[in-house]
Amino acid sequence: MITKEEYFNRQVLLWGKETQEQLCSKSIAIIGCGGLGSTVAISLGSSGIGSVYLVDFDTVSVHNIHRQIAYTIEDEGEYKCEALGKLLKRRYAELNVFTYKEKFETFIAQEHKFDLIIDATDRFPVRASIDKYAKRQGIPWVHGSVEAFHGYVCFYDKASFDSFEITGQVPGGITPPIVVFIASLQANLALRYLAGLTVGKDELHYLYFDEFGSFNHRKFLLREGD
Amino acid sequence: MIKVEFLGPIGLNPIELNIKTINELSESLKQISAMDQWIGISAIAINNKIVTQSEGYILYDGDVVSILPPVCGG
Repeated sequence: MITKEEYFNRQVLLWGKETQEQLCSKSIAIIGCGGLGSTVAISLGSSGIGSVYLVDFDTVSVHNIHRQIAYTIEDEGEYKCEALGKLLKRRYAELNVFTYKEKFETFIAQEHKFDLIIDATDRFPVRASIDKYAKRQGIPWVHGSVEAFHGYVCFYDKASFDSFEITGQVPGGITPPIVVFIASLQANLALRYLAGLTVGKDELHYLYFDEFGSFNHRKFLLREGD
Repeated sequence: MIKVEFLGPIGLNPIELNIKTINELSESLKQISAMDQWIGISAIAINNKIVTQSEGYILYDGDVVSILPPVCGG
């Protein structure tokens, strides 16, 4: 039989048994189970948090699989949230997984309670809705967006998303490594917050490769919402 | 003078402008044909702080304006 002491050995080594134990009372909602959602869910689902709400109405297509690392060819046609949920349970059986094959607006029409929202969507209007919902609920959310060789990450607490309320944009070309990279930063911020560690809030991280192939990390402060 | 930098895939070299407002900035950027696809969808930061055009921000000598492209995918 596998024990928590054995499973979380290296995390307990990092932050101690008490922090590890309090993680099991934490719950998150991951909105979108595509590229970002796959990586964030795998990273956080086996961290010892108690519950994950997975929200995505889409099914797995062959053209998703290269970058949406939770899925294999055998998952084609299955709802992403259900395929991802099964993987999370296989990795850590004590995790509570709740799946919602619906749009975000439908999901929030029901009553839920979680500690943090992860934005893993691919549309600005949905992100704006997440921001408004999170503010109403009084909980933070972690924004992520990625395409080509660049992406944004931000732990939104008090700041408003209104600088990025853009309509009509659709996702462009993309490769797996940058998706995993951006999602990993989201997961790091999320896990530090859930573990009660300090987190830089309302700072927009812009990460990109420039035309010379140099990697750049720029950080911008966001203004508080009205 | 105000320095304007263009980040990520916008890929333009930084320029210097003699302007005082965000509106003047927008008018100056409209004169750059390579900016056509980015105007109206990019975010603006002044001295590493994101601002909105509606804030009527006043620019001062030595300010650095950053133009940040939108990133949609997930």
